[in-house]
Amino acid sequence: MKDTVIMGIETSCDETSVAIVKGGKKLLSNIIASQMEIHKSYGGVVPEIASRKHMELIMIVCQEALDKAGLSLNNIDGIAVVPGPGLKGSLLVGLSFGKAIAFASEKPLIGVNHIEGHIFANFLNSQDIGFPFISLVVSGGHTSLIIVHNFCQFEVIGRTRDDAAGEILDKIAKYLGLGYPGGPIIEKLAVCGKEDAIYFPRPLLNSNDFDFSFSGLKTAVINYLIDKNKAQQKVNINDLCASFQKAIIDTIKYKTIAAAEKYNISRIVLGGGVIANETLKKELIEYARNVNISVYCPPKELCTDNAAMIAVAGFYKLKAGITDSFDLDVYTR
Amino acid sequence: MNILGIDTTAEVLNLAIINKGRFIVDYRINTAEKTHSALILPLFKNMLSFTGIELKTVEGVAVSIGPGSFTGLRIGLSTAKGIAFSLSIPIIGINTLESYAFRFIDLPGILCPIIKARRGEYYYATFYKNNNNLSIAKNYQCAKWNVIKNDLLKYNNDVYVFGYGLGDILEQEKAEKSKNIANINFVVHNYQNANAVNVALMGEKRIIEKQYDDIYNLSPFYISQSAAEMNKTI
Ligand SMILES: [Zn+2]
Repeated sequence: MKDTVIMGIETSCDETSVAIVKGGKKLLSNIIASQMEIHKSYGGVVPEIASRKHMELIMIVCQEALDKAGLSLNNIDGIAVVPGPGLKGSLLVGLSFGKAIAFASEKPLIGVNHIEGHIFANFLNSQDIGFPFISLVVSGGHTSLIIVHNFCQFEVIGRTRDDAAGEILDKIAKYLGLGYPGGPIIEKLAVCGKEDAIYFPRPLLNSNDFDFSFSGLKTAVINYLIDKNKAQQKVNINDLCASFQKAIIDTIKYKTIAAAEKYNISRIVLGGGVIANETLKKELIEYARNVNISVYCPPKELCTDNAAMIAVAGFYKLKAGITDSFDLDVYTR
Repeated sequence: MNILGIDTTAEVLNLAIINKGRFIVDYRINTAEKTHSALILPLFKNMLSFTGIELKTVEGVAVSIGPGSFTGLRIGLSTAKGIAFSLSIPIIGINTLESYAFRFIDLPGILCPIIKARRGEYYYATFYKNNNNLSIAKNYQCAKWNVIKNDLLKYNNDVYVFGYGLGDILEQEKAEKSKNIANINFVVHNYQNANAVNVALMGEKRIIEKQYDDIYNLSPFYISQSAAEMNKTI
């Protein structure tokens, strides 16, 4: 089992990725073909274009992953695929391709939930993280708090009720005409702004659960801009970005630590594209340190969508004897 | 030589295995209960066990690449690529309209296969028989029936129209009590849109001629741009 080699396939949104991981830890290859540049000109991911791009790229990316690892399909011990959540058309390309490979080469098929995949990015090349831990996954598609009891037992304790954090960053950036994706652009402008310049709400901060809701914050920012425009007052975009980003960070930070304290868990494990935001990461780590909670975070390139995390998750599921049958189908949420 | 044929371009999921120009199994499922994605491999597995054909004796995969349902095309092609890649066997992409025409290759005249698209339009092309092969007369298009009809009326020969969505056209013709369509013949046939046997037969021909497709670059034949691309060009 130590040397088990898993191929991971990930096409849930706009990245076509195939990776090969040995023994759940050693990354042999992780090819990621990003479609970002294409979707940029539309101001967001266009599902039909994403599906078409995956179809064009999947075989090429798969071959590249094998070549880079110096392996052939014969050397692979299991195929890890993502049935969801994600965009249906996109998921279907990777899932159909991965299932067919597993079937025709008679290898075990392992379905990996995309969000769980983000958590497993932390196990690559890393020290061992003790169980249980609380995982915070934040990206364009999800904002979730999950208690991870062991490699196979996940308990979702909070999720977004409407927009995900990454989604409102994209939407506000689009509204301001700043471009796509929104997170990195807003982070850059926020550096030069004052985060206490404008007060925006921290939604659901005092609710008794660990759910998130960001659409109210989005409305608040848009209303602020409309009011300023009506009053013909100039808006300092840097201040706006800093204050808006701060509202998101505060919400995520307080909720996550509160969850850790309530469940008496001293480890927090991060994942998802928005985690690549340095300010968020820094604030979370500092705030957690004050209450003696340690924070684990994958390197930046493993925060965003990639197949390595899927292969790692696949490794642990296979180790636990969990495989899927060939009627495995997609789910969008 | 066992050749697998895959047709996932419409509601009916159709797989077939043929060998030396004869079909061994032709497997169709038409259900809204389960998706093509959930059914395609279990179906293939069943087919192999019922026929006693061993997976490693499959020597080629022919797949219908469209036009058709975008999602369906991608499920079929992704699956075909995975199988061909794993078994290191040739993959052949077969144009769906051409595969419909191939089925009626012996009709004496111009062949016009159609496939219902969105917004009341049909994908179509016209073919004629040329030394036991099909030659294309009019390239692949997407249009409303009235436009297609005007196109077909220009031919001096008989034209045979068949395919997926023919029922709607027949109703339209009946409602409009059309005259002057003397040279247009409608070929009514069941399961127009489940054509894996012919896809496999055409694939076998191409394999014998060593005209394989490149597994890396073989793409669906969409005809239509995605809606977003269309808006952008405008
Ligand atoms: Zn993700």
